Amino acid sequence: MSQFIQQLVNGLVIGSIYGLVALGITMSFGLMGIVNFAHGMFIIIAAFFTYYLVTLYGINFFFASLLAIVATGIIGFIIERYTFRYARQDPINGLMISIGLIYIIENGATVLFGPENKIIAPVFTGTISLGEIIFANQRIFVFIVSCLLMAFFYLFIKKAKLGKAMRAVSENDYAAVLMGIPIDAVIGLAFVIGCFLAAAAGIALGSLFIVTPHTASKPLMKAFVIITLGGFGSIRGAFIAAFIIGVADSFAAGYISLAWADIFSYIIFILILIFTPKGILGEGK
Amino acid sequence: MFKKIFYGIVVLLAILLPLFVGPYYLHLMVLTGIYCLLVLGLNIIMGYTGPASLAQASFYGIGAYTSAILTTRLGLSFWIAMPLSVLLIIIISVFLGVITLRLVSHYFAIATFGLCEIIFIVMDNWVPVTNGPSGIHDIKPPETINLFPLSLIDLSSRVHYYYFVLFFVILTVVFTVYLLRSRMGRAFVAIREDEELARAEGIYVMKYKVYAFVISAIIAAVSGSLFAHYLQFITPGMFTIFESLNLVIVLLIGGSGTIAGPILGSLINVLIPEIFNILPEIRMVIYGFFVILFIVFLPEGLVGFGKKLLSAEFLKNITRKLNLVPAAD
Repeated sequence: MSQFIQQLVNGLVIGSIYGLVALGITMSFGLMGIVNFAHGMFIIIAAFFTYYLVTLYGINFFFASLLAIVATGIIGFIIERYTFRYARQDPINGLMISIGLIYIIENGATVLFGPENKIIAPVFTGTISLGEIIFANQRIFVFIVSCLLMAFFYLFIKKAKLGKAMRAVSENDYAAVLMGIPIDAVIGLAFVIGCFLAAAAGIALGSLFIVTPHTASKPLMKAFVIITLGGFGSIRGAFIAAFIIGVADSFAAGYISLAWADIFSYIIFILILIFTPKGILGEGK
Repeated sequence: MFKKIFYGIVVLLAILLPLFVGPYYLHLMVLTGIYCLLVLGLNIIMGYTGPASLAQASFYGIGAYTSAILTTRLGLSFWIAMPLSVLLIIIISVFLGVITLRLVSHYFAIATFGLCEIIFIVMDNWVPVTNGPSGIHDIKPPETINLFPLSLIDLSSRVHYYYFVLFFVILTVVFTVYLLRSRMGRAFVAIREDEELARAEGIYVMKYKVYAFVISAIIAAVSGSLFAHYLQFITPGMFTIFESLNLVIVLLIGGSGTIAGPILGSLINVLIPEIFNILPEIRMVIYGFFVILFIVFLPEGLVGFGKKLLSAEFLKNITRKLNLVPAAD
């Protein structure tokens, strides 16, 4: 029983991180129709930024994270403006551009930062134990912050004027232009917000596990599984699917085997694409 | 006429190549040939029919693994193992094609992305059969056949293997040319241009898409089999999603939906890294920049760009701009 709860908790923590990544991809998919494989690269950028600021320059973790998130947002803005903007008409071209970006950032990071494992020193050390179940404080912190970020993001999309504009563009960009929405600016901002979320995920991953230039591929692939499960472009769906996949993954790794665990999520992924392409909530496109 | 002479010269050059280059460059040319087959295969599904398949590297991998396992474990001859791997790939690709080709555009790309991951995980973890991450070693080169004209061919020699691969490349090119003239090829192009219209014209879209998928998978399996028996060792890391993505990029850089595109693209892919002999990571960074520049500025690929340059309209515009010819009016 205690192992069950332990796996459940681990799954929820990891699910919340996957969720942050998935929301960013959902945004760029919903608004631009681009399958952005390069989204995981923002995870690496933010994690390395934070690592260097904290470890080398001894800057406070929270301030360093903030700087890293802003820096990632700026890089994201430049990338959207000078690459993805030219590929909006053709989704396959967007996919290709994102692969080019992966080549640049992943290998650039290996050259600049080296292939060694790095870990961001956790702010909260120690654990809380409830009976046999042990919670690491840092994990709880990550879980709470991730959930707050996602909730904030959800409210922003539903209530704020800018969020409404984003939804309008994702519904029908031509009509949005006619309503006087500056779609270039809205899409750019949405992309930057996606980068902020990925950056937060990167910092969380770096403080729980390790960072290498190749860290991003796993959460990225999970994020794709999640947005498929949640329905493409559906934010609520992605939110719920993130926790489902996180927990399922954790159980598969704990009870079956770590190596074969991934295959289950991919099989689910393809089955969903084929049988219910609108996702679990039926909100997808 | 001009075109035929040009292609004749290219083939002649390819045949005479072993006379001019050393063993290392010949090795690279063999790899180029194998890569070229793969991209030519991808061209049939992605270039002529439309759907962007990211499962090409998996079919390549399945072809390589089947052939390698059959020859090393069961001691079969290469000449039996290769057709068997093609047979297996037909079964697998028909099954996967029927399932995934119902999806359109990037949904298909994402589904094949998942397939590629699944097949990689199987190769990497099914240790009793595939020997896991360390891969299969000591794969024998194809045996010599004891039948007079064929017995002169010794495929453990690099020059002979080069001609062997070249034979398959030329075969595939000729096949593609004739395919495009056939009813099936025209149906492919019709589907690429407008799927709805093709359906309205009475083309059974799903059937032709599956055909295109299977043809591309067969070519990939042949290429995989050639690759395994040339390099003599294979690991799962050679057949990852990144290989699939790279194939798509090579096709787009060369020019998808053309015959010369895949050939040009794979030449560039293998040779450019050798010419710029620098750190692999920096090379990949430069490569990434080029990919983006190509997609943004030359979405029709090198061949498409070349055609545009040579087209009468473009030449006229340029000459007019440069004031070489006075305006007609």
